[in-house]
Amino acid sequence: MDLINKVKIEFPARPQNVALARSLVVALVAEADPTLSELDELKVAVSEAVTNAVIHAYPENPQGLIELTACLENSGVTILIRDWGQGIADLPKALEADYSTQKERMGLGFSLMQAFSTEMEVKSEPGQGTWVKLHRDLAKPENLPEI
Amino acid sequence: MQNYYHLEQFGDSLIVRLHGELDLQWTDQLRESLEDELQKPAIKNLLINLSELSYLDSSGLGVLLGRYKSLAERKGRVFLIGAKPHIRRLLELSGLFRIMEEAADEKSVLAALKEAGNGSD
Repeated sequence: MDLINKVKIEFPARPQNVALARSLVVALVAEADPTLSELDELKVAVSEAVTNAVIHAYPENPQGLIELTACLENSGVTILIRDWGQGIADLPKALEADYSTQKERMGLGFSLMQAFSTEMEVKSEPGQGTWVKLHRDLAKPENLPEI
Repeated sequence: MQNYYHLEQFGDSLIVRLHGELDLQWTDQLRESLEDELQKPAIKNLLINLSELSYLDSSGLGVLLGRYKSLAERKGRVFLIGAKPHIRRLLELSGLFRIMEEAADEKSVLAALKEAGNGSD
């Protein structure tokens, strides 16, 4: 798995930063010439992970930090989204479709991340924070130069 | 593309036209605006025009489902209009197409509602 490009940013848990995060990932993968469908699905997967962190990680502190690391590789793109917030008390339950702790939310976040990623991994500890890894294969990255 | 929404009442139908990207940043504002309008007893139907919407995720889907629940309580109908293919896929995955009606354009929905005696202009 050869690294082609990498970006790492940290931002506060503000709703405005959901769009910022997905725009950054779109800009990173642009050189791999992804299909429109790959881009659309990647945008949703990243946004769902960041939205979860914005909503759930720091209920008392919108300045709590979220870190996003995205690596463009020959095999596709790997994205890590982590926070140091309250964590998920019951991770298996949270991963179930339609489960949400909040009214007006559909509990689709993890389902959409899974549907639109090739691989998804989630780790969380109450009081320690949450770590989400998404990998998405892209159709053409093997044509890219290595650094 | 600028993100915004536009509301218009047409008889007993409320039309909301969504533009740009609908994510967590806009959902609270959209929810409040729609709820204010849907409180009006005259409103029976909601037409959600998605033809200018380029991005949607679970935050926006939640707002649409919430409004469906508000209207379903008084036997109203909700229509999803003109969704682009990637938005359509999300509507399918979320199950919203199973409870809301799909339509190609506003005109045909308003005409059908009028025909059925379920709408007026």
